[in-house]
Amino acid sequence: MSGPVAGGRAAPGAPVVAAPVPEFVAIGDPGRSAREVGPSLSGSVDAPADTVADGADLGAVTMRSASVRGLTHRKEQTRRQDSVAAAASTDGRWLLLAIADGLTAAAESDRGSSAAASTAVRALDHCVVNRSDLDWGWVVDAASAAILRRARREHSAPDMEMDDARSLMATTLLVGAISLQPIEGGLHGGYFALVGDCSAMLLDPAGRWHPISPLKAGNGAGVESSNGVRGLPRADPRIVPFDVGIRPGDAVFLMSDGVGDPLGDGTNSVAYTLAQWWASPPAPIDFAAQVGFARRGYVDDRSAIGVWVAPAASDGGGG
Amino acid sequence: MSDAPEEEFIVLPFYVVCDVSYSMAGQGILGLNQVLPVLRDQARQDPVLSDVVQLGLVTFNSTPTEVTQLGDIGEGPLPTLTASGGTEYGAVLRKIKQLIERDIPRLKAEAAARGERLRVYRPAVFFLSDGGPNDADWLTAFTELTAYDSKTEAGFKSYPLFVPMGLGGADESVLRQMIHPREHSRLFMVKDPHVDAAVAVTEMAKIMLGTILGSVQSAQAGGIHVFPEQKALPAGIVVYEYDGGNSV
Repeated sequence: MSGPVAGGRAAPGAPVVAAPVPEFVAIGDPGRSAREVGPSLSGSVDAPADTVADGADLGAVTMRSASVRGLTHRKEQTRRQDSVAAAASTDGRWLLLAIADGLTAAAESDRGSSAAASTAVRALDHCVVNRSDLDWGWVVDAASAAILRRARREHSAPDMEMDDARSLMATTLLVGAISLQPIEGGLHGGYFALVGDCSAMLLDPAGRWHPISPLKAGNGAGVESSNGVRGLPRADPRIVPFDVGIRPGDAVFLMSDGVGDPLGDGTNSVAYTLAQWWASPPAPIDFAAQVGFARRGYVDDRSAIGVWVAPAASDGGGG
Repeated sequence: MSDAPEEEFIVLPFYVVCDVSYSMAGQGILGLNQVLPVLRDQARQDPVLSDVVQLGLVTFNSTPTEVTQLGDIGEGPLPTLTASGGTEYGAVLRKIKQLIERDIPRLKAEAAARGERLRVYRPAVFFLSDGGPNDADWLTAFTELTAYDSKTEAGFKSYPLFVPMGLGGADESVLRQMIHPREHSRLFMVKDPHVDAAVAVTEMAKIMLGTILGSVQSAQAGGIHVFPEQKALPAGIVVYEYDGGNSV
């Protein structure tokens, strides 16, 4: 086969250009699973895509988002259970973001996380544009109601109870808004609410990670699971609000625990590598490859949304 | 920062401990010799599993023998096992404790030599036996292996998840006491006396593999070891929780 075609016939004998994107990017030993397990189909046309990549350049603010199916789901041919959503508010003043991580034990949690993320962003838009307050309870309830509606509709069960919908579609949720213009003192405001074990970190221009969301209890190993199904939808969710002032040169990352767990408290080699890769916004395709980094033993779905605030014009740049 | 920090990788250790006393002669030992290589091969075929699982094999009668050191799931042939001797639990239980004490630091040291740091999950022990122990004070050794008080740090901090599995003439009342931790582990018993010992051994190996697989997946979500439920087990094998109820 001759070389690449650019709007016309290929020059005969032109060399074939190898694709520059590697099959995976590794942090440390990728393990056998990264080399041997590739994307797969889940046996239904309405299954979510294996990988989604999104991005937006909004002046001083740049957004990249990605959700990547984990190796376990690829190998088992089961659905990616993470979902992401991003939009600008209808008044153009806010970047609205959501990440939702469907629980492994809930058979249809991909649908739960998808309904939660998209509804949360829509509800948050209503709050920031039409109301003067960020009513997180209202936003989370809207997400729960959307999951319940979906469960009832898809199972033709108009009287399904919320507990049953949760057993089928349970999901965590991290939703938030970041101002597209500085709010105070040159800082952009970031306001978030968390239900479950997603997390948010800030990356400063010196490449240091700062946890923004409350740290997970127990750090993962041997965490006791409760008897009931956690996550949304539920009538009485435990919502943890938090906010951060984002300086020019900072970047904020929302992530599911597939990224948050290996990142830890921001001091290990995964954190160090991501800090180098994300010192400035990569192309959306590259961000997706990086969020899905290969590392032996880490096989969960991965999702992350990165929001960079450009350094101030007077900064010398570089840390 | 001049050097990248050491990388952290997850490891799940599993010890398979099998009774090779005289009562296992015939179908029992035949089954073990057939199924142990198959168990290893099937585990090794799963790339996600073989990236994180470390497997060790111990046999015992009145004394224990380490057949395969805890490590990556191996490929070479396993020695042919023979059945002989009496059944004592104390010696093998003490051996398991010694192995854990030796192996976990060894895995960490080997990893450190590669520039890696390991997060080692609590080791799990599958304990397969077809007869009651002849030693009366095995419980002392079992307590040394499993008792731990997190408040005072008294006992054995690296105590394993202990999963007793009984077939043939196994003493259910003894094995039931070996469910540890009580609120979490399980006992698997072959209840049908007519089940061929080779078949029973094969089914127990499947349960081991299913537990290993489920636990690897659970560990990804920050969870703990998980076991097959009763409905997933073949007829004739019952799974028990410590409180005496059947795990349905």
